[in-house]
Parts: sequence; structure tokens; C-alpha cells
Amino acid sequence: MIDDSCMIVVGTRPEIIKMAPVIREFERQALPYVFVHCGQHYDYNMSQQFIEELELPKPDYGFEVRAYLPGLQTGKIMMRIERVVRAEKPSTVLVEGDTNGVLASGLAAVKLNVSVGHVEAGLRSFDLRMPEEHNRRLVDHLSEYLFAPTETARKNLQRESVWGQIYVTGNTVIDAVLQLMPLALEKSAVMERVRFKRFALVTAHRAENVDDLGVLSAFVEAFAEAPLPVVYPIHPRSRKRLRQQRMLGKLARAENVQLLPPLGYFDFLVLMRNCDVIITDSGGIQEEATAPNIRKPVLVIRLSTERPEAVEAAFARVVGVEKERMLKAMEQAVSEKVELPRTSPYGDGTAAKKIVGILREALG
Amino acid sequence: MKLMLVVGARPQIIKSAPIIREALKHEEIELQLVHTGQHYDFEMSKIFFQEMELPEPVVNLGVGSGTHAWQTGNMMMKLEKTMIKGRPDMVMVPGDTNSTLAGALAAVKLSLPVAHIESGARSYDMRMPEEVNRRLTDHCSSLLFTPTSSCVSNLQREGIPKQRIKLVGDTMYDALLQHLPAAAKSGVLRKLSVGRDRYGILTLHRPENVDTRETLSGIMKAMMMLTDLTVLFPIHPRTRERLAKFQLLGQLEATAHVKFAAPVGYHDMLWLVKHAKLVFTDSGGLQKEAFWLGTPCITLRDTTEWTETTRLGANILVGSNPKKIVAVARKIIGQRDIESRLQKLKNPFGDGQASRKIIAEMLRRR
Repeated sequence: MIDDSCMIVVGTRPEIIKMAPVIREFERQALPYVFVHCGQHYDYNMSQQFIEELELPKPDYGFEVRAYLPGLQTGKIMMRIERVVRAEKPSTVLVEGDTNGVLASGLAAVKLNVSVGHVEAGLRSFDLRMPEEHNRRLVDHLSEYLFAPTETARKNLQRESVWGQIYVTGNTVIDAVLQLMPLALEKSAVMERVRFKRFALVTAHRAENVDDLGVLSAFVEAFAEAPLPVVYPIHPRSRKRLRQQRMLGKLARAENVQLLPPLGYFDFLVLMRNCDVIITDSGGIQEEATAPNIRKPVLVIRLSTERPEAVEAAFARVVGVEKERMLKAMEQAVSEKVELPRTSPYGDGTAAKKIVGILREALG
Repeated sequence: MKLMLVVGARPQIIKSAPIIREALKHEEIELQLVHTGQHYDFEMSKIFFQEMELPEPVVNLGVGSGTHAWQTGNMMMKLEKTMIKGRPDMVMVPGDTNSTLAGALAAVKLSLPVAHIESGARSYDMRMPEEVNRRLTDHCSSLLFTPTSSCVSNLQREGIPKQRIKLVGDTMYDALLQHLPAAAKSGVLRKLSVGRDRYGILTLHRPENVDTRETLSGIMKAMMMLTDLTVLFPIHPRTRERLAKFQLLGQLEATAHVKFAAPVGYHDMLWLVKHAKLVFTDSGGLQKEAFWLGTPCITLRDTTEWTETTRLGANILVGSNPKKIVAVARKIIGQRDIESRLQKLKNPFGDGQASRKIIAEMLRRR
């Protein structure tokens, strides 16, 4: 192929998870590539640990970008990635997702006339207050290869007449869950720590939720009064907010609630597999829950979702952020046993193989 | 309302001049004019502001030239600081330069609304950095001011909601109408000793034309073959350097009908274009200015974002093939009635009131 190699850029944990199957496919087919960590999550050591945990090779370049302002962060990453692209001269730069690092890397590449491939292209929440919405839209409009996870994503891209080629490949997150679950079950001991046999798994970390006092207290009350036990691995940001608002104690004392420290990906996979229902404001978890070896209902505690496929396939329900509505949705999830589909709307776990195949063909 | 206007390159200052003048008429608007310093020659930029009779920018970020990501990244960081300090209600970015994109990105990342001036232009050639800048700026703007109805269609085709798009006309046309009286007094024809309708004017600056020997020598060969008229070439120092490097300069200097000149100001350029027989250019703005001034244009590129002018037959895309350039130029020179025909064309770029409409919309949204 690919006499000039591809450059694969990651920057956050979700990006590493979703790019991992692509990297493994490059390895399996013995294709050359340059692996870059752009430093979007400034704690490079934590990322490095995670990369090792997933048994991926060490990045060829790794940056730490300490910047708290979005423009500063985007600008710095642009400059660094430009230097790597100029040094390595890849034929294509592959990015995944919707962070500032993804936009910065895509821009740096396209301005050097290096083509950009966007994995997970075409997602839209149509909520312009979310910085990610701008990032994904802009990256889609500068990419030459758009790897759309679903038909919905393809339609979004067609509606915007993007300039590049659209390919529906499925989402690499399904590849990742299928590949990693056996390893997770072998390595994780998290179930020994969980007090309950049946439980709801909760994650909540989005700024528009935990930074809003009204929403945060609705969460605390709904979890404490939930119709089934709640296991809540708590993100440092959410813990800080709860402590500031003097709500952490109430949650910790609730008999119904077990708080856990932030968990590794393997522990989290095992919890998803063993829970009854998932309650979350994360985007990626809505997809992971549909993998055939997880298959769990998801209550989305947000006002919108950019994953309508999970909703259409009956895996996910957008329940909003009001206490009563959350409680009612939990009761329904416990009482009504809905038969979930056996296949995921996000593909059959061959997304990475398709992506690498398309790149091989395109690059000759 | 606090309105921050971000400029950096010369064409952006031209596009902004009528907007600045209009904004200054309204006390309700606090105008924050920011210069990124993308065109790094401080003196040149100062003279240019004076020529346009504009107030000097409140902030000059002095970013200077560099690689694209370096320049854009640097501007973003500095603009972000300026925006945090200035707290504008709206950030306005004209055109398609790195300053445009940096201004738009810095603003949306701070959740400030962006208004794009000259929105919706498309060449569909993504190898041009300007095309990337235009497209991305359009897709993160909340108010898109378009110069023509085909720009409106371009945006709608890309799924941008109708209510964000405002068809106002081209502020560059406003500028032209406002500055033509001053241009008439420039005396540039005498200064450069060229006769009305007896010369063609050549401008070149795009990297794809001046950075490769083959392309540049093709264009120069065509100019040397065109003995039918004087070719006036106001030359950028960088282009001169390239000509010397590719060993084309000596030959050109020995060609009697090719006449070099130092870069000219806005007024001189308007007057030169108005009285030229022909314009040869790779610039975007000059294609429109030639059209408004009734002078036929030969564009030394394969694509254009101003298809309105090519569709009307006022502008012809020829690329860099010398034989083609000469053939098309001779054909135009041979048409006696071409100028009167061009002057009769309907102007798709508005009525010269674009800036007034833009500021009216700003006030309406206050």
C-alpha cells in the first residue's frame, strides 16, 4: 500500500478505545503507520498507561499540552501536529471523534495538502452550544475520507454536501468491545467490590449537567431514591462539584448507592456486562451498551443525543435531567422487560477492517 | 453592542472599509477593530489604512507570516485573549484568510457568535487553503452575509439553515463605488506612462503559480508572446525573487512590452484596471473588480470561487498554459465592442449598499 504511511492521531481515552481496533488492524496486516498522541488530555502518563493496558504500541510522538483555554489548546496542538506531519510526510492523517485535538490535527494536515480520514464522521447533536458539535462538523468538512458509523451519519453528511467520500463502516467501538471483553473478564476483579447482585450503572460527567446546581441535585435525589441499587464510579470533576455543593455526603450515605473511584476501561466493561441498566450522560457508552456481549438498556440523562440509532433500536431512551422523569424511567426499565435486539445498530465489529481496506484501496 | 472586526490581509481591509465607515455612524455600536498582523509589513499596512481613510486598529497582534498551522494557531491564541478582554457581543470576520478562520474558531470556542462577511463563495478546490478557510468559517458562523444568490445556494446545499443566511451584496463593490472618485485623481496612468486601453495588467501571487518553475515560466512565456499590448506587471517582491531564482527575470526585463512596476495601492489599482484592455490575474478579488469596472478578465487558475463572472462571460479561466493564454487574450483584444457589452451586464453582486444592510442587521439583533 501505502508506501507513504498513515499517521494515526489520538488524544483522549475514548479516542484511544475507538482507534485501537484500527491500530490492531494496521499491525495485523503489517502496514506501516506513525502513532501520535496529540496531548488533548494533558496527563500523558495516564494516557500512556491506558495505551499499555489495551496492549497497543507506544506512540511515536507524544505531547503534553497544558492549556485551559480552548483556543490556546487548539492552537498549540495545531502547531505541534503540523511539525510532525512535515517531518513524517504521511499520505493520510487519521483522526477519531470530536475534540479540539481532532480539529487541530485535521486542520494542520489539510493545510499541508495531506488528506484527512475522519473515523466516526457524521455525528450531529444539532446543539451548537456543545463545542464538540463545531469540531465534528468542521472536521467532516475538511476530510477526504469520511468513515460514517451508520446510515444516519451518512445522511447527515450528505445533507451537508461534504467534499470528501463517505463510507459506512460501522463504529469501531463495537470492534473494541468484542476484542477487549475476554481480556477484561480475565483481568478485572471489579465484581468482587460491588455490593449488589442487580444494579444500575451510573456515569455522569458532562459540564452542562454537573456544573448546573439544579441538575446535579436532581441527579443526587434520583439516584438515592432509585428503585434498584446504583453503582456510581465517580469522575473527579463530578466528585469535586458534589463536594462543593455539599451533596457528596448524602450520596455516600444512601444505602442504595455504592460510589466507586474512577475505573479502568476493563473494570467498566465488566460492570456494563453485569448491570441491569445503564444511566449515563456519556455519548460513547450509548454505543458500547449495544455490543452483543453487553446488550443493556440505557437511560440517557441529557436533553439530546447524537446517537439516535441506539434510541431507534430500543436500546436507549433520552429521559432528560428532571428527577421525576428519571425515577419513572428507572421504574419502567426495571418492571418492563423489553427484549433488546441481538445485533448492534453500530455494526458487527468489522469497522476497523473495512476502514483499513478502504484506505489500502484508495492509496493503492 | 460591542462588535469585534478581525482583519489581517489587505483584501480584508478593503472588504471591511465600508462596514467600518457604516459602523462608525452608529453610536450604539462599539467597534473593536483587530489586526492580526497576517501581512507582517507594519508600515505597508499603516499606509494602506491611511489610503482607505480608516481608523487604525485598536489591537495589532503582530503574528506575521509562517506555515499555515503555525500562523493560524498563533492567531487563535492571541485572538482568544483579545476576545476575553474585549468581551464582544459578536465577532465579524471577512473573507477567507487564515485570520478569518482563526477569528471564527477563537470566537466559537468562547461561545461568541460569529458573522461571516463574503460567505458562501466556493471554488470546490480543497487544495486551496482559502477554500478550507471559507468552508469551515461558514460552518461555524451564526450569521452568514452573502454577496450573491449563488453563494446563498452554495450554503443551502451544505445544509446551513436559511434563517442564518442574509443576501446583502458584496462589500467590495461598496468599497469600489466609494473609492472610485479618489481613484480618478490618482494620476497613475501618467506616472507609469501607460495609455488607456493599450495595456494589460498582470498580478500573480498564488503559491501554485509562483512557486513552481514550469507554471511560472508558462505564464511568463505567454506574456512575452503577447506583443499586441503593453503588459504592466506590478510585482510583489516575493514573485520577483522567484523569477530570479528560476532564471526568468533577465529575459523578461529584456522584453520591451513587459513593464515592471512596484506594488500599487488600492486607488491606483482601481484606476489601472478600469483603463486596461485586459486583466490577467490569479487573485479572487481582482476578478470581481475587473467585472465591475467593465474590463475583461483572464484568470490564471483552473477554478474560481466567482463563477458569477465566468458565467456572464466577463471572466475566462485559462490556467497556466501559454498557448491557451495567448489565444484567449488575442480573441478578446479582437472584440471591438467587448467593453460596452460588459458594461451592460447585470451586476449580481448587489447595489453597493451591502455594508448598510449588514450594520442594519447587527442593530436589529442587538
